[in-house]
Amino acid sequence: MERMQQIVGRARAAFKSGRSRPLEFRIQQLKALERMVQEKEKEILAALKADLNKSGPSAYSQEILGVLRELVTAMEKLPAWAAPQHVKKDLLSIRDEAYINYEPLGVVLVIGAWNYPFVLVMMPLIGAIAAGNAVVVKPSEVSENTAQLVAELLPQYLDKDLYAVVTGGVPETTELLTLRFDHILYTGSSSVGRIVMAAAAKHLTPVTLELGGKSPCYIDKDCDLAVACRRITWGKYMNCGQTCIAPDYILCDPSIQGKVVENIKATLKEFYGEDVKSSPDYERIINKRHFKRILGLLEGQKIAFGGETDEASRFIAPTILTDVSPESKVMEEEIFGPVLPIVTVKSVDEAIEFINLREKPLALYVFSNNKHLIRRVISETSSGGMTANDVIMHSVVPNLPFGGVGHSGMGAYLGKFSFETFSHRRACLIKDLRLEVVNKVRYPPGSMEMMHL
Amino acid sequence: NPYAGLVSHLRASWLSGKTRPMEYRVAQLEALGRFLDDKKQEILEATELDMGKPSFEAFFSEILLCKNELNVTLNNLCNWMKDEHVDKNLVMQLDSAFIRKDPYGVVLIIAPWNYPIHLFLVPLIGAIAAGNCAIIKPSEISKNTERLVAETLGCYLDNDCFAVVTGGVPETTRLLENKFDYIFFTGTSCSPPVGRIIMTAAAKHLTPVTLELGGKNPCYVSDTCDVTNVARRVAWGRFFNAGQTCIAPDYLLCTVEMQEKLMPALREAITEFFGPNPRESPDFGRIVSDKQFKRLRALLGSGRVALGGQTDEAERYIAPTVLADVLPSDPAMQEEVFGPILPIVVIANMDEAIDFINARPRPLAIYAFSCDSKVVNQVLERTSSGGFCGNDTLMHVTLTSLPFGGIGNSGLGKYHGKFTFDTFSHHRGCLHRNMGLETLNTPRYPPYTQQKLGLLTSTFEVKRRGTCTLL
Repeated sequence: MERMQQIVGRARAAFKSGRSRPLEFRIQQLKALERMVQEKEKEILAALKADLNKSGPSAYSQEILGVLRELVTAMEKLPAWAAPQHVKKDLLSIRDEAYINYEPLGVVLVIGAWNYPFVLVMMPLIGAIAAGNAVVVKPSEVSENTAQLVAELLPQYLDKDLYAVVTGGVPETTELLTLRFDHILYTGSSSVGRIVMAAAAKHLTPVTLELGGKSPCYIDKDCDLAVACRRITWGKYMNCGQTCIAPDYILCDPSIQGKVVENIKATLKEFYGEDVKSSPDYERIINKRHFKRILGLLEGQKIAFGGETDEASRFIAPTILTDVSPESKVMEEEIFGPVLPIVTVKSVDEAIEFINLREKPLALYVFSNNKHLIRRVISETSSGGMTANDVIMHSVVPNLPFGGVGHSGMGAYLGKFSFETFSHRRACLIKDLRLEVVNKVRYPPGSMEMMHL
Repeated sequence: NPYAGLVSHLRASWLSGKTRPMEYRVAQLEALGRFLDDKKQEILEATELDMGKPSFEAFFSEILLCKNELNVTLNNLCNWMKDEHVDKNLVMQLDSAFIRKDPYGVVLIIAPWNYPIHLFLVPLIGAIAAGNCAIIKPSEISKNTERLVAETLGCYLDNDCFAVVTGGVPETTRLLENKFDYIFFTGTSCSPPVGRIIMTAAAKHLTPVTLELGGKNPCYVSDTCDVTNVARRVAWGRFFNAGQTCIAPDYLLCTVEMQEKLMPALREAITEFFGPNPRESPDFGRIVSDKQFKRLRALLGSGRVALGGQTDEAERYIAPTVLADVLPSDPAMQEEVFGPILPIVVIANMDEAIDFINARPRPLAIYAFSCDSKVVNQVLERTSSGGFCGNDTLMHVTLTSLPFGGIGNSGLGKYHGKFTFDTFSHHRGCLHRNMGLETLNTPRYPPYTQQKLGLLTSTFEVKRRGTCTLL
């Protein structure tokens, strides 16, 4: 505990020294991070392989490409983002200076998750540094190789006092959360999200919670099924289904259920070959606990395809379930695995109703050639974000905010939104000390006639 | 759960979608405008009964400022509601990428007693503009205004979507057991720590919150300044609403020489504003309750009473008071004053003032007065606060284009103008892709190859712009 208090205390003292505030310093730190990612690419990929069996190209495109892009964006845009924003003035303030000043919050806590263990600590870290804060990073202990690597690498490249890494599990995180931070960004489950927010409440600390949920995927009868299913297959089974914005389940008319299954089967063969287990591009479940959890979801279900498992290597084959009942276990919790239930609905109205009866998801997907139908689905539902006619991709558009709503989270980040999340927007009005005559209108003794000026 | 029925009724209305069309929102906002027009006299009377609020002040804060917010919102609603299209990269040129402003659902607005109409109405404007349903919980301490709102607001707004709940701490606690999609709270942060209690209750349902709290807003007066103007602007900000303002200058920091110079200027300003006997002025308010009166009276022992100091318990009157030579350890420096008492703490210079401010929790507002703009900028740059005003008090919150909110103990979130609309909307990232051009997606699919990776990288990455060296 003392060790953690010391680490956070050092970060706070370093922040108070003011050295993280000049833009040149922040850009220099971001440059160092960029060097770290480029120089240690091999080590990062090796850690991801050890933790999740991610293949080289897969790990690179999922976890390194995005980070490099975010770094370049932050370094290029920082001067524009950090510049005071002058605002529209009214008659009384016409001779004043009125602007919004972007200021760092102080010491930020970033808690990462295990499914994309590198990118989910790096993206918030980049934004927090860009905004001028000190940062304490707590990578997920479940992806232990990446956590270990992050703990080793960051101090080699960054200012050691301003940016610190704390490793550990639930007890360590609980202790950490008793300390005071000026913002907490947490990626993980809704149940732990509640705990983080309650701990933050004790210090009135603002939070960004990137949580999860069951992201629905509605397939309309009127759409190119082959293309739709290929895109869905990609998003569902990447990282072995362990993606917060993966399409969790499918909603479609019973008449196309069979074709959907056929198309996904065909795509799976195309992606992973005849023997999925020997494909270098197919990942594994993170640990035994999740392996058993996902296995439990298959009980009593109609397995249309897949279902093979191997506990020793934590392998679960890409699996499709058909005619799934809305009340079944697999429809209760976020699957976070390579199991795709299909629930049949008779119309888009039924799909919308089904979605709205449940908690607001992190992502929502709809496939249709009918623009009106897509517009309806967007307008009559709510979700963190959404993509029509594809999956996942809204999260890589540079200027879209990434975040949840309701049980799937609060706040947003990525790109400029990270900078804003980790900054305080301070309202500033600078008046002239002379020109008192303008103020006389507001001083007592007042009369109603004066008010109508 | 006594409020479950009400909340589910509002939630059903929300799910029906009736609050979403722009026409509906405009109609409700216009009705709010009529409420302010029709009930103007009643509002002035109720707030006078509650805390002796002078009509001039009540008109300014409860009517005028509210109508400004309404008009800014009505003038801009169409634009604010529009999808915000964003820049796309090469591969997405045929796609549509935009930010959709979705309402949250059923929101809860809890207001305090000091500006009892303004502090529920301005948040409500944003909540309605953003398409939500809302429950309004006015303060039970300003009981005349509470009754007015409870009895008449329903005549103007759609009762299926907007409701007023009255009561005190027990009722609010029960209300908070329900799930809301957003909670907007204005009130105290300290004793009791209501802000923390609200956020803890919100955490159970993962409900996002805005907390507009308070603190001790320091006011630094440098040695180079126009003493008369400083005294007027500070006195105005301190004694408005008898000091019961979250952004009032809470205490003054200045040198002993400036304290000497300020005293006659402050006396003159007070006399100019309220006459020789402020008790008889229609423009000076009263303390809202006996409890607050007693609390404030106890602060009068701090430092020495240089101006004012008179009190009358029956009227809950405390004269505009200035306390000189107050020590950091004095009672007046231990809590937010929230009354017509201005403690002056003497410091040696600007650096000491800045250190004094930074040693304390970050306040809602910081004020700095100086004819030297460098001094004002120094205070701004070396401190942190919700907002900042140089060479005046309070005024930064009357500009609707500036965000209003706290930091640290003084709050989280912000509102006014478009910021209120944004507070009550979920900004949803949306991408509408083309179903064709599937070949463009091939690089992302397994089986993964270095070649595919190269293609992906080249279409996806952002390259540093090369530095151009001119001769």
